[in-house]
Amino acid sequence: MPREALKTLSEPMYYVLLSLTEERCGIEIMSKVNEISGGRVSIGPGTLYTMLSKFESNDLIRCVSVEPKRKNYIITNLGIAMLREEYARIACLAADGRAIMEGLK
Amino acid sequence: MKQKNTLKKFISFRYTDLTAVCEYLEEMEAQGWQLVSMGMLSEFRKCEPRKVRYAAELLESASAISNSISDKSQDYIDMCEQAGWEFICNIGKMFIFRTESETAPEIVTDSAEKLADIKKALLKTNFITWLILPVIMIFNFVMQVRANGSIAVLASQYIALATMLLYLLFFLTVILQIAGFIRWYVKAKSAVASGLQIPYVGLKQLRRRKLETYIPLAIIGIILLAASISGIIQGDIIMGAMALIITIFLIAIIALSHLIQKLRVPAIGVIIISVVISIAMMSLITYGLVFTILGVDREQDKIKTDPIFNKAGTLMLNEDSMPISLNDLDIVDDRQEEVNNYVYGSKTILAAKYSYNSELAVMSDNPQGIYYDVYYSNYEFLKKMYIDSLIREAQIVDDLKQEQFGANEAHKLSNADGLSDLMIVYDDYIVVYHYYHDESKPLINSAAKAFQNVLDLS
Repeated sequence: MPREALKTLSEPMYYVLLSLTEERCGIEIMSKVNEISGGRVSIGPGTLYTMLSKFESNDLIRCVSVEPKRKNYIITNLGIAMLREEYARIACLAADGRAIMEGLK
Repeated sequence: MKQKNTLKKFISFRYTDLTAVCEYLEEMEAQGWQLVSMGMLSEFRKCEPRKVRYAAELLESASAISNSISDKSQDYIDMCEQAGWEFICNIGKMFIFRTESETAPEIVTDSAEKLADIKKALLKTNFITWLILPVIMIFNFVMQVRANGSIAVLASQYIALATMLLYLLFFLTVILQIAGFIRWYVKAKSAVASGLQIPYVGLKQLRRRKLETYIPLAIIGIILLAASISGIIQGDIIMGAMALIITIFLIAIIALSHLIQKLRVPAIGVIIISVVISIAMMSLITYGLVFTILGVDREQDKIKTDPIFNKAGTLMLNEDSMPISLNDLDIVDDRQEEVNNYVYGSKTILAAKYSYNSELAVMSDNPQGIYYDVYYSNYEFLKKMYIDSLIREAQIVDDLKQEQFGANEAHKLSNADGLSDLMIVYDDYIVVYHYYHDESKPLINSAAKAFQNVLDLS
């Protein structure tokens, strides 16, 4: 069955990819996402499981090691490229809005 | 301990009821009953009453028909356990977790994803009930109509009426289910779009849903019970026994599917077992239910005892009577014997159709016989349907002078095989004489007149 290709990243997806710039397992990803977003974004294990399988089938991440009861993942070059693209888009959004938003004050 | 330590309960749910399942399990545990396993019957163990959180989640990639846990499902379970949820059991695509922790995160934090998974799982698992079964039923119904010639004929058989009623009930249930699901899905979808909570089925609705499962089971049970009792009363051992066998069979199926779920039989095994059971069930229903339980329609060859219209002066359509026999037409003399005279057919509250057959023994120089069907109904549309179906089937239709038969209509229907039938339509009855040709004309003419006499008398 052909997998649906990922075109854009949702907010939780962006944070999960960010946290996978270092090798991490499921529970570590969850706490890292929580940490970098300052508790604003939290992600449940079920949602994370679905997301990781989607990322893996799209080659954005890969499984590096399997321990009993846990699998460790890390981002791939393709994943980094996608993350860069998303980062650039968000930065662009912020930059575009800056002049106007600062003018409001 | 003398007290009961385990409790078995029947829980009926759909994939849209996940929240209600959690609420139910939390309530049970608050009352001191902890879930051990789910299946046809869910098992609870006695525990200290406590407040815990349950989660019932769908794993879309899991098999819907088997409870065996694949490697992928195991990864999923591991991830949830790491996050502080204890895996309890799974039933198809539904996985049940429990946690005492207040801080364990929700398992699914993306409500749009959850809704999409529920939709997919529901459509996949209901594929057979919502699509395949209705198609098979429509096909079966069309075949039945074709085999009998007309719906009007089916209306004279209780088995056909019962089947149609069952189909109708089934279609109604399916339509209600689909409509209910669509209504819920549209609501849920707009709730997700506007960032609101998805309106999942609550515990109250789940309890009501339970009735939807109990009532059909109760109806089947009552039918089976009634069948075995009436079988015993009528002294029909076979009928009683068949009803008993089917009852045992149904109980065995329920027990088996409980076992399948408990033993986590892999999907391929479930498919094989289901196919075997379906075939066994189909043959049992076809040969058992049709011919024994609804025994009213068992085709019976009954030798006519006496032509009742002579004595009683009324026409009574029942299995033991034959309105017109050769004897009644003064064709049988002392030397001759009437043979092969039988009547078969059936009668319902809507219509009756009987077929008659009477022949003279071969010792006659000119062997004669008379074969005819009588169709009776109080309902104009059924009679019209019956007439139309015969006219439609015929190759050539000749309208005859109806006066000579004292009837409303008379048609000669010539069929493809070169034989002709004579259809005479009276006020209440339609009589079809078979094999109408020149030689049999006098015989049929007198039979038709005799029949008219019977109608006049009645």
